[in-house]
Amino acid sequence: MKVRSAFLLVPCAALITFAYACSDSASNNPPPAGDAGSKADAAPGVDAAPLPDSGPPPTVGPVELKFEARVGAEPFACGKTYAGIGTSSATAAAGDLRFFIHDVKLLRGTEEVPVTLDTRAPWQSARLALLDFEDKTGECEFGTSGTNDIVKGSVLGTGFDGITFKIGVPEDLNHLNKDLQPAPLPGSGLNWDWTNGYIHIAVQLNSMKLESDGVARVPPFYSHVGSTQCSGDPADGGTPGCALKNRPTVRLSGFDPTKSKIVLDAKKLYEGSNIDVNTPDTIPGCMSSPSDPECPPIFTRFGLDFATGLPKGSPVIFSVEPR
Amino acid sequence: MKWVAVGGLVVAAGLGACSDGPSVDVPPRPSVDASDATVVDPDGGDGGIADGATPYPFSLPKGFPTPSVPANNPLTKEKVALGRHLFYDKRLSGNGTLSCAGCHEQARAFTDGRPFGIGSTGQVHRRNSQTLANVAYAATMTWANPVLTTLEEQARVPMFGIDPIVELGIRGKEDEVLAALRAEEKYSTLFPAAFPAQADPLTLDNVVRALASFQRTLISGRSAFDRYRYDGDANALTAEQKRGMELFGSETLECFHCHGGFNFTDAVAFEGVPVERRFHNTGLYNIGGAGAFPPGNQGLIDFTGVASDMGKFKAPTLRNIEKTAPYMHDGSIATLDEVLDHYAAGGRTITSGPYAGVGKSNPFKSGFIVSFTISPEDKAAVIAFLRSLTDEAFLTDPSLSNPWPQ
Ligand code: HEC
Ligand code: HEC
Repeated sequence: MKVRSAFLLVPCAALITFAYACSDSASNNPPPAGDAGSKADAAPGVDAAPLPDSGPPPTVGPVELKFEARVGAEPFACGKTYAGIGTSSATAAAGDLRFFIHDVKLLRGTEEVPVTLDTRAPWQSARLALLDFEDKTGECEFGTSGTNDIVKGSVLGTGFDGITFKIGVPEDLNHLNKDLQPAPLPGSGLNWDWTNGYIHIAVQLNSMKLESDGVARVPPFYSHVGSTQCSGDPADGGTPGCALKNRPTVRLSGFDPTKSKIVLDAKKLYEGSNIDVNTPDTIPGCMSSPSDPECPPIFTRFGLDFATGLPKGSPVIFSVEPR
Repeated sequence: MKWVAVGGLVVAAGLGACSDGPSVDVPPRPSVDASDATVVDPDGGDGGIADGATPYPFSLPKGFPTPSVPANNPLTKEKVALGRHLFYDKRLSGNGTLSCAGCHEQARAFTDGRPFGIGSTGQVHRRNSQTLANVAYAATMTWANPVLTTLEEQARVPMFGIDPIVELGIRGKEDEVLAALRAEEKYSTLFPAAFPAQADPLTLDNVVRALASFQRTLISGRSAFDRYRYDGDANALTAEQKRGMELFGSETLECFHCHGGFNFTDAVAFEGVPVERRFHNTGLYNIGGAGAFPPGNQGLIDFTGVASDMGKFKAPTLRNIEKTAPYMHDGSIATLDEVLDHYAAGGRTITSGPYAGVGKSNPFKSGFIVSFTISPEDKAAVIAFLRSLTDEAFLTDPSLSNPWPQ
């Protein structure tokens, strides 16, 4: 694993500003204009930002991407409960809301300009950022005490009107020894086991409904999206890889980083689900199992094709609002 | 390390999330309510590594991150050597009958084989003696104490504690214990070597520093599993153990949520990873159907008073688990087979007696304790995998053994 990480991490970190150098091999995103992935000798960023006809050349400046998590009109917060969730209009408590993002690009018309992520422990490495809206209080049992609603980086030029990013941990970082990786991976608490990698996005609301015994609550409705159908243990001579990648691609227009924020509405995630019931003998909620009947409506709203694990439209749970 | 009190909780702010200094925009937040805000540096401090002392070079197994060591007690070979002698020394008890090793035996991965620890005066502890394997990585110490975060603070508990029980019983006998240590020839060189800058180093504070230092060297990472995972020996595990490993990591059994990572527990902290206080109710009891655990031993709630903290305990490391029976905070499960029955049922059912109840319906149970069906073959495979975590080299390592002539 030492060899693998040294070999893969370093070149990818160095190439992060090439638009697609590190992206998922199986992504079905349409390649952006001037895809740098095919011409590896291009200078970083140059392909993405042609000089304007007049005026000074664009410069690289800091950029902050603001995120917000809500349940309908209310902010998502551990300890809060929300009414009207899902098809049974359940009342439910906040349980979890965290996700990784990578391959962040700002849009200007049809141009895609890569954002170089700051290294900012414990939330960001050059490759990856973790957004975290739970603080481990209330029913957020598996969370962490810190929270993070911002992604910081730098970008060439100004005047953006959209954004695109991928949700999850990139494939080449997904199956390494988590405890030896730079932040945000080791402390995230979002790991599955070695072969399966990380939970790309976790959203959880816990219905207040009681079981038939009248005492215990029904199980939490987990929505854990990660890569599945994985195999290949490096220790056993295999190469880890997953047939169903399950990394959504978000693409939003009307986003100006100086004026807008990106909103995730957890209520929209459950519009097709009944969070009061779980099919017996299946995992509570959806943990991405291809055979779990609770998964299809969740996957649709995460912008994923359930059968192929490939992105299918921008997830409806994300939208742009003024800051 | 800086110690700051936040909302009544003492939080080690030098660790992990805050290791990046000013760029961290989230202050450490308490996860539980507690009264009595205090600002303490529990250990005074031993300053840097004094002239004449040798830094202890961690030789960590592959795959292990670097443990955090408090800045006020840097690890030196001399402190480790002193701490090892003290750990095995019965003179470190009020009546000279018990040492730390009395409840933490190396051959049992530093546990004692009993359901409950038994103190120097014969009092029975309410809890099972914990393994000290990889305790350098423990995010919090003991089964359910969210504010005990260093080995320095922890060592004072068995030494001086009287509540819930007398363990080593040193309280009120400090002078006698120090005199007994002073009478030992070996300590007249071990203490000055460990604390070369101090004029009179034979103090109980230094005993604590040395014990903590020795315990930081109790690193267990040379099991068959480690040879397979990190040393490139694909045959170190049998086919059955590999299948057990897969089951252990599956979303059906859910084990890895609480027993994941290099140390098979979510209650770890190390350089770059903050202390997170993690405790879970696994449905071991449900007395009276309202979720209660046996009185006097109810877990995190005993500390916080928060109703939903009922029955919550720290997930132990599963390294050397074969050697650390009986299991759970009260030693109430005798075998790994029965441990798996407990999880497969989604919580233990006790049919009669004062503790009767259906653990599966404990309202405070973790959402990851879900019942599952497991065939006898698969159960055997999971247990075979758990046995692959036994580290014989650790259990017999001469440098961790009793240094006194026997
Ligand atoms: C009477 C038996 C007994 C003696 C003597 C004893 N311990 Fe323990 N030890 C225990 C028990 C029981 C626990 C669990 C305590 C609890 O949860 O309240 C424990 C817990 C610990 C832990 C916490 C481990 C973890 O993973 O959180 C450490 C460290 C420890 N002991 C070190 C020591 C040291 C050092 C000494 C000697 C100074 C010592 N013990 C003496 C019984 C004992
Ligand atoms: C929700 C978190 C959680 C999950 C999931 C979980 N455990 Fe545990 N485990 C714990 C906690 C907490 C304890 C201690 C409980 C107590 O003492 O009351 C424990 C104790 C144990 C022990 C006894 C350890 C000792 O030293 O006494 C074993 C063995 C064990 N678990 C194995 C497993 C296996 C195998 C699985 C999967 C089937 C599993 N655990 C799933 C949290 C969990």
